[in-house]
Amino acid sequence: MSSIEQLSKGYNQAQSELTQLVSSRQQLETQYQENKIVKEEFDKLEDDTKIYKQIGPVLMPQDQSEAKLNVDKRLEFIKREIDRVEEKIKNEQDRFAKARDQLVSARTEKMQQAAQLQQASAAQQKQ
Amino acid sequence: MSQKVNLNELEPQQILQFKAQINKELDNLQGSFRALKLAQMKYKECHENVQRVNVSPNQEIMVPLTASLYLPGKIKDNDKFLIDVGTGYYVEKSSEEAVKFFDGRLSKLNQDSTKLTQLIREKLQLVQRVDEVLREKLAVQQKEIEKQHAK
Repeated sequence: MSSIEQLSKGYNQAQSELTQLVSSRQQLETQYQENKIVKEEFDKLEDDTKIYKQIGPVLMPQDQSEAKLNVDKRLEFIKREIDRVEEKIKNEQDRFAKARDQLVSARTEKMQQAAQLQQASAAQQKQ
Repeated sequence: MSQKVNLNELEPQQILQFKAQINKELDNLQGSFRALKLAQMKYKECHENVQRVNVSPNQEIMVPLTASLYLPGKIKDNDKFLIDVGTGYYVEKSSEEAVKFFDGRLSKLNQDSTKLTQLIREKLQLVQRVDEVLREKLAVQQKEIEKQHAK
């Protein structure tokens, strides 16, 4: 039983890690989309349009080129993060599939053993 | 829909599982739809406010300093708006540009909400069909049980 317990523990762990990774992937996607919208908005601006950045409760005037650069940098950063998380998700999916297969085969084995035991005892009773 | 599983071949329990899954997706979609409607309302409000401020100069307003502290004020320049474009950036726009900005956002949201409505409708139809199959299955099962009892 202990090996099955261990396997199912590993399976649950792999599953919860996978869920976590997927949700952080979704979060990153939201951030990426928001920054993309900001970038699109910046691209449409006139050269002399004023831009402010909210820092806490204050609006700080900011250079347009600086703001654009910041958004570009952030987009790049988020993209890298997305790639990193995707890679992790792939690995975790493999681990998850492996854990599931191991668990399933351990369970079938156990069930087969139980069935054999039952047959054996039934045969004994007949004798 | 990419699922090519024939519902008629599934066990009632599997169908129930499938239905639960669709309902979950449906919940998510409806949540997004509510969020979309909320965003639409907010943009509409902004849109109206820009026009209201822009009709006449020197309007008097109460300026909120905190949520519970206000100061009487006058609108000095009614053709300069600061718009939150996302991620903490604010852009200065004239009333014309501001209206254009909000119109753009609103039409985009309208498109999205049409798409979403279509998706939700499809999912609802799917749930209906699944329900039908489930009911048929259960009826067949019931009949078989009755037959066995009759024997």
